[in-house]
Amino acid sequence: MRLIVNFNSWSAGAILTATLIGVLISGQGTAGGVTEDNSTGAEFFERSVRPLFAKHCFQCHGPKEEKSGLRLHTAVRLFQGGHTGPVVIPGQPEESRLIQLVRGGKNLRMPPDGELTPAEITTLQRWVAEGAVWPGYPLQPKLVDDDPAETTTFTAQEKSFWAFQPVIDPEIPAVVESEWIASPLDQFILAQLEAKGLRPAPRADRRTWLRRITFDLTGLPPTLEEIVNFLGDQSNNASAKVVDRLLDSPRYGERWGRHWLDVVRYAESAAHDGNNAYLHAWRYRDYVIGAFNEDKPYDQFLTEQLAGDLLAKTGDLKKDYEQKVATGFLQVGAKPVVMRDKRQMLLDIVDEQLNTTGIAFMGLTIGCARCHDHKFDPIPVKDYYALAGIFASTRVMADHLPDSKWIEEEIPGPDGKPTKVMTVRDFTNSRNLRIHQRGNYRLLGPVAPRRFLQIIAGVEHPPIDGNHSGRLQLARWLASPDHPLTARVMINRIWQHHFGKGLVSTSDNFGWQGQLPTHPALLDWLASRFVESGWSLKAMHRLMLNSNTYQQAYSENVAAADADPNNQLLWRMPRRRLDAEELRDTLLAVSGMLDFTQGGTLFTEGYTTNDKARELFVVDISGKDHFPPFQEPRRSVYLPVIRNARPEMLKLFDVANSHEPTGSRGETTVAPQALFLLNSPFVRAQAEQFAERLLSSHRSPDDASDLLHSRIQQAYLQTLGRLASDDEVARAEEFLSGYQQVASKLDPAILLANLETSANDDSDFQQLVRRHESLLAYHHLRGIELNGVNQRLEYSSFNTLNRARSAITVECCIRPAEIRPYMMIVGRDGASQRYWKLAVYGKDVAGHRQNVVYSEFFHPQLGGMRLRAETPFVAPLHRWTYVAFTYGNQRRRLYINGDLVDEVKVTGDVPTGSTPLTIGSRQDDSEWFHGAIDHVAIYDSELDEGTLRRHYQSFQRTHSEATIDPVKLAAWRAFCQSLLCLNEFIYVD
Amino acid sequence: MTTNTRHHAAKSTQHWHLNGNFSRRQLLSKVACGFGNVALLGMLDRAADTSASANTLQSSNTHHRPRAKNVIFLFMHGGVSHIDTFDPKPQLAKYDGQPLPFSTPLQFAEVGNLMRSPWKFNHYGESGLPVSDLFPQVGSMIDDICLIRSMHVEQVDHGGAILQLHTGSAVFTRPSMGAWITYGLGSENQNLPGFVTISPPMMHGAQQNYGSAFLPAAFQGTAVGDSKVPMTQARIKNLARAELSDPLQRLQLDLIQAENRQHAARSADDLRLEGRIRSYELAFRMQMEAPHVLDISRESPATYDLYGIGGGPTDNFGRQCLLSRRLVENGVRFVQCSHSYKWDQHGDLRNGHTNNAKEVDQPIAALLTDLKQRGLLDETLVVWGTEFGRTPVVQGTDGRDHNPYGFTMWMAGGGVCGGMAYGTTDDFGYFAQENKVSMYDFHATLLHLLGIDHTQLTHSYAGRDFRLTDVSGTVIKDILA
Repeated sequence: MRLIVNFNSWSAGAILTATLIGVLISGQGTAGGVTEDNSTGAEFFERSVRPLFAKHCFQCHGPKEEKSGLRLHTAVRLFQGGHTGPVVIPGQPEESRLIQLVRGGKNLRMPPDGELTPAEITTLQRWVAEGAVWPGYPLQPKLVDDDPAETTTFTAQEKSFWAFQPVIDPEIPAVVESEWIASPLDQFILAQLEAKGLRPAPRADRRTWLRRITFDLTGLPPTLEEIVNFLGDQSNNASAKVVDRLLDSPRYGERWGRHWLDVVRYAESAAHDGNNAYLHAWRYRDYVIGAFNEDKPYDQFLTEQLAGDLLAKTGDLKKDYEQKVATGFLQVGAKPVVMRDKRQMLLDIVDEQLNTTGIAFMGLTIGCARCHDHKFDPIPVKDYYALAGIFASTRVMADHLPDSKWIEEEIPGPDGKPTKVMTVRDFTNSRNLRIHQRGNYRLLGPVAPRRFLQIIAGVEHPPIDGNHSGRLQLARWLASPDHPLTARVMINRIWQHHFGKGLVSTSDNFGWQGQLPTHPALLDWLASRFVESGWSLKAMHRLMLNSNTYQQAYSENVAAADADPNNQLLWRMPRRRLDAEELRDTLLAVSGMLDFTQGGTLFTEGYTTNDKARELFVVDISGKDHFPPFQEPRRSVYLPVIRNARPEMLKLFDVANSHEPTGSRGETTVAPQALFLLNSPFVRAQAEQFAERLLSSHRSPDDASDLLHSRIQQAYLQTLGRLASDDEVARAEEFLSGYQQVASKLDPAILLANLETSANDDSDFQQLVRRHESLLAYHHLRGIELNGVNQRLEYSSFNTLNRARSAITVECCIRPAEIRPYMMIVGRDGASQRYWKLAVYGKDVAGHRQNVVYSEFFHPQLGGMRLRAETPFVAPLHRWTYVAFTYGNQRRRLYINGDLVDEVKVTGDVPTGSTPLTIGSRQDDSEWFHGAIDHVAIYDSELDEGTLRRHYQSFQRTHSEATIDPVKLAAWRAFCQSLLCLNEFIYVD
Repeated sequence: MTTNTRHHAAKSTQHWHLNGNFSRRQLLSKVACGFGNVALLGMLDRAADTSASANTLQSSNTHHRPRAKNVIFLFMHGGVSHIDTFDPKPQLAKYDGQPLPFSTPLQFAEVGNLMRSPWKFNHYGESGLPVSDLFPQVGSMIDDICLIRSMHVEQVDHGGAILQLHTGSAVFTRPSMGAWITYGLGSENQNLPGFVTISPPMMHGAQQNYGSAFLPAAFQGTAVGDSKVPMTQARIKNLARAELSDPLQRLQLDLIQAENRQHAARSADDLRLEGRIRSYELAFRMQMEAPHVLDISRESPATYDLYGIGGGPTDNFGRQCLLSRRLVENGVRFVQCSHSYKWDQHGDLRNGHTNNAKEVDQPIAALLTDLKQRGLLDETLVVWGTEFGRTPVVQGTDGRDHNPYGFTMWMAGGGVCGGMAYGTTDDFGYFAQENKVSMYDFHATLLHLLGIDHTQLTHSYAGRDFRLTDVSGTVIKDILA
């Protein structure tokens, strides 16, 4: 029995210390020597421990009292622990809160009135160390075995398994058809094809190649401009230029960062019952995206994620921030934070980290060795606990409260501003774990000193010594060029995404249960180049993408299909379905709605409920598809990843499950996907936007037939990246006219109701508005007609509008349906509390009664004096008028259709108070607006004349046009949606 | 429409066999001109069956004579107390308030003393089997029911136990039993999914409980609503047709399929393309047929009364049970109804179990009665189950903790002995004792009743053959009729 003593926090007499040192030096003495009681087990408990509890503890933690939820008079209650979790970890006194408390730490010492004697402390410590025997307790923890001398032996077969052999830099094989070779990589591929008597597929046409590589590197289709540029570029290095351009695009990190996020089971909630929100996890996600974009060397990337907190500070704000935020890797896994057994919880977290680390970096399922030696791979249970000790010496949770909270630290961000990140720390005292028999922490076996996998590091490699967890050493060991798995596993992940399958097709399992590499020499050659390049991922992309192997077409070859039905030898490029994020992003890109904003979070505290001021829980969004962040037209990688509550569409198309590392996703074909593409509001909305964009395009020729033709071609180009054939154009024309024929017989009201957006919607205008940096609120009412009787929109919770501010701009467009004395457009105008508004009132202008636009401000500090600009600017009936006012820089301005029509001097801030913002009437149910109000936008600044004029011009471009015929729009929507359902759209060749 | 589909499908199948030497390209062009969209579908259905899933069974080709065609699984989420429902323990009354005389596995809540059942047990039917006052109506059907009182699993927590119940494995992601069964037997109705789960739980594994894991996704459960949505609003997602009218949607689908077929013809060896073409047709037909099947409003007032539909506590589960009958009637292979997460009475057992039982007792009895009246009970296996039972010892003053070591599930109809109680727990109902039945045994028996040898229903994945029953499972022969 070895006793581990931490001298730093130990306050004992000299004799005791001397005795302990003796014990440690001899290495085999028993702790019994330090007390007078030499009895063991039950006897020891009854004679020394129970009386001690009775004397010092029962008063507060016994049959009558249970302070802090703790009672020590029964075994069950003692092992259950108190509110702060278990107090006794059998066999592990250093980790037992009971021992820490009686010793007295920084904050708390037990018992509160007077200390235990050193001898008493030692008694308790010994009792815990010996397994905390409590007579009669049915599942008493026991030390099953204590034979630290046992060494591991591996069989010859285990030792010679390919994945554990060092990477060799192989000879490049000779080939016959040498003119096909563009890169040494091609030689490896061709050599194996030739050995089977096969030939590579012909070159893919350039359009196909461009679509393939653009999706591959960015997750998005090429734009029209990119297609035209590439097809027009006849230079020899046109392809290489495309590769460089795409690798330089920020879209690259968004796509490839997502692949890595799959591997590290990234998510923003803890799963399990609480599903607690990780509100700062997104910083790790942005770190990953940034790392790919900056081509952070992979060895550094790995080291930062495993042990960035242990790296020396560089003094460079950005680097220091990244080192810290990278350790989110260890935090973003699922956590059973509400688990009652806190010891079990911590061990489960360790297991989760270890399992992820093993799979992500080594392609080894180390987690399988938690309960017994790995069934297939040479990973003894001892190795599991040796590695687990490293993570157990790493602090993940901030406290042991019933609902524990993980560590979040406020550190200087890359910009120096305080930034909260999820991170980890080393415990002050690192510890070795004992082997847990059958994974049960109550059945303890021998100590497993912290170290690495013996099959790779050797059975002789020394344990981690000293007082650090060993995470940094683990990271360095993994990131070493000599590690047989690190480079192979990562290069294989890259290969897999470019060529459909990994050279080792089980990219998360390089063990015995995994598949053997199809091209072992190529795998090693690539791994060697990877290390040689300084672990540069972009260099590896270039190597693979500038090959002729990647240039192959997806083409049929009956002989090859017979010889190699799974295309393992790559006699053609595989065809793949767009993954969930690609499909969603592409639908948004085609509709023109995709918002390319990078980074940041959509998941904020507002979407969680705060429970007992202790913990933030995720709002229950299960079963709801209308979680607002999921509706944002951002790239899918930026949508919050809430475990067990993923957006329907992503789930349907096989998104990674985020509970476990997922190196390769499924690719299913099921009817619910078809139902989604045909019927979901999301796809229909995209189709409609797309149709509107086509129909309002200005570049079209004048001739009606040419116009139709050109729109069909545009639709094909934007969805499939190619022109429609004559056949297809004919079919499309036939469809459009057939559809319109049927639809024109339907009730137009039904037809209109069936359209998602108003016929005179303008996405360009919307984008202009949405992208303005000072935009506070924007409401697109989709041309809804307010009835002038009882319809308005009210936003009582618009807190951002309540703050005092010195400037504001409000713009919108209106289409009055009636002339009335007063109709309010938008404002904050209640019965008693009146602040500002934009409105029209009926007045005789030029001999006719008309609606005149005005704005009005109420300044309480000015004795309620109204400042009203009354300018005879008329908003005609049944037509759209664009109106805006600004307030700021000591002036108030009114704009009609982009023109500044009125200016008044003002002082002070914008009047503000608690009256909610209403659209379509005053808050006290008066001044109802009859007609349409749309595109209401409120800004936090005074927009200048030029900006408002540009907004008007953009607005006018479509709103002044003749309204699109709803029948025509419906037909085009159906046509566009059809294109979005095509296999050619959903698959990439 | 439906009849036509089947007719055409059969005809085209024949054609396929007669012209087996057609290249796929020829076939596609021929079909496109000759039979129209609908026929193409049936043909490709079978073409894909033979090539892609040769190891699955046709229902006419089971391992042995099936005793049941369909399954309805009534899942009581939370853990129903067996000793208060179907497994009476007189000793519990005798020793009420005394300590449990033997040691138990570690429970995290304090182990209290024994607590008698608050409910009276009555004997029902010819068999005279006792059922508590919680389930009087189910009790009245006891002669059709085979109680299995010796169920046991290892999982103490809901999540693990529920996954074990549904998939056999608490730890790994495995296909749901509904997925395995549909994979093995296919669906009787080409217009509906073979596996439907009504109001599935959104926690404790959520979709994993009706997922297909490594089996093809076509075998995963299709959800109708979820546990948070009342049945009156439960829908299959995206089933509501978005296009304005049948002819318009048909026009759209024809355009899609024409383009898709032309595209597929350019690379005829890619079965995925055909799979997707078929998925649109299936989606289209589901849109046509499923709303009618899902619409229970066509049922008579008498049926509504039978199931307790029309407001009141039985309304929601009554709707689930009635819908499940409609689904099996229409050829859905495996239907699950989940009673939402209500049975977890760590406290307030008396009220909790009383109210829960009130919600399900009548609908369950109605389902059995209704199936029987329609002659469907013989070919439908009704399974009633829960993730674990509850402890005989009290938790707090009026609660019971989880007890996975001994609990009750039951089967009725399709090939099992009615009026039978199989297996026992100990005197207090803590541990399964005689004729212990593991979840694997239970699954093996379920498959057996459907004509499947559980050791032969395998799927090869990641270098190994997987089974619902892993490497275990013994069919409980004694309960087979």
